[in-house]
Amino acid sequence: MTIAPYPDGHLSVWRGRDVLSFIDGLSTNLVLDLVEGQCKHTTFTTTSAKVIDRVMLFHMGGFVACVSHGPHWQALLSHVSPRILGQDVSIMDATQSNDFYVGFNHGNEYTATYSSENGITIGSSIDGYEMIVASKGTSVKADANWNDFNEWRISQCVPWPGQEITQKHHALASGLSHDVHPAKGCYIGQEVLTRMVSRGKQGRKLVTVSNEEAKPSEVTTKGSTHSLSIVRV
Amino acid sequence: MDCGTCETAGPIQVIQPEVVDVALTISEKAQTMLADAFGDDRSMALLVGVLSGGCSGYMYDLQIVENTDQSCQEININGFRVLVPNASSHLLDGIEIDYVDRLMGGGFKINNPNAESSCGCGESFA
Repeated sequence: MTIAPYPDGHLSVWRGRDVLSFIDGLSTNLVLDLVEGQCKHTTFTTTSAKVIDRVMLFHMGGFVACVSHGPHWQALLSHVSPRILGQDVSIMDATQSNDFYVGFNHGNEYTATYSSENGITIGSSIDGYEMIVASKGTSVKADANWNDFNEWRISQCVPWPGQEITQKHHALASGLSHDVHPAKGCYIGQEVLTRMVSRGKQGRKLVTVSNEEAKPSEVTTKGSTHSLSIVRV
Repeated sequence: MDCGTCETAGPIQVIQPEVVDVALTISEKAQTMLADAFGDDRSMALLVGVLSGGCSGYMYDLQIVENTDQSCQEININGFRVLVPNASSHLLDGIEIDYVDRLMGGGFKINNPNAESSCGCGESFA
């Protein structure tokens, strides 16, 4: 497996008996069925289905660990925190105690589970990479840089927060259709996304295009020969 | 992964909305339906709460309860005990609880002057 550091990773710890139903009501994927040992992506969206952030949830037994994108954290917190109301949900920030990495090019199959050993937790993403969260002081050997990961993302058409996953686009245009559960109950942004799916019209979509064909205004991640672009459909 | 302890990862300060004294009304039709539901037992209360979620961000939560462990305001309207959790009082001040009598989409309905928008089914608002 090739490993690159992910310096913008953010880790929050969500505790309380209402955590899963709380997250489920505010994000696009079904997370009520998440059990200890499993991990899953979900996406928080606005009422117009624009993406606030995509997170990876790890069910750790007594709590849920949430890996999100650091630069999006304040927006995410501002979105969820007024909605806690009287529910049993508390959130702690554990970012400073950890380092973050992504593993890719490994050919492993998606398992929706994570492993945790010697302070290093590795979660399998449906997008084909692995999210690695390592306690400070543990040793993870990175043998690639962020550009290498971007080249891999471009080849696999994998979106990333801050690049494709931004408040400019809705979840389907950002390439997050895996996160949009077709049959779960209501959540913020659901009416918009469901209408797009049922009508077969999502306006834009994420594609990999050669640099010669890419329109500069549509490029979200530029690689050496190809780019990711969110284009009109 | 180091998930922290209270010392290394303190709780994040979440937004605590101000508690307001709630005034609400119940339409005559809704009072008739509540009287049917309660019968003669007025020791029960109508809990009017708000949960996160729904298409618009907040969902109404109506329950008939004897009591609740939530910190609530109790309002008496024509003999009906109504409980409003303090945590969601800012979202419920000024509401009218109505009853819509129709085969599809009928039932108790909340008209909320605080709602900027609501979803098609009327169960959630923003």
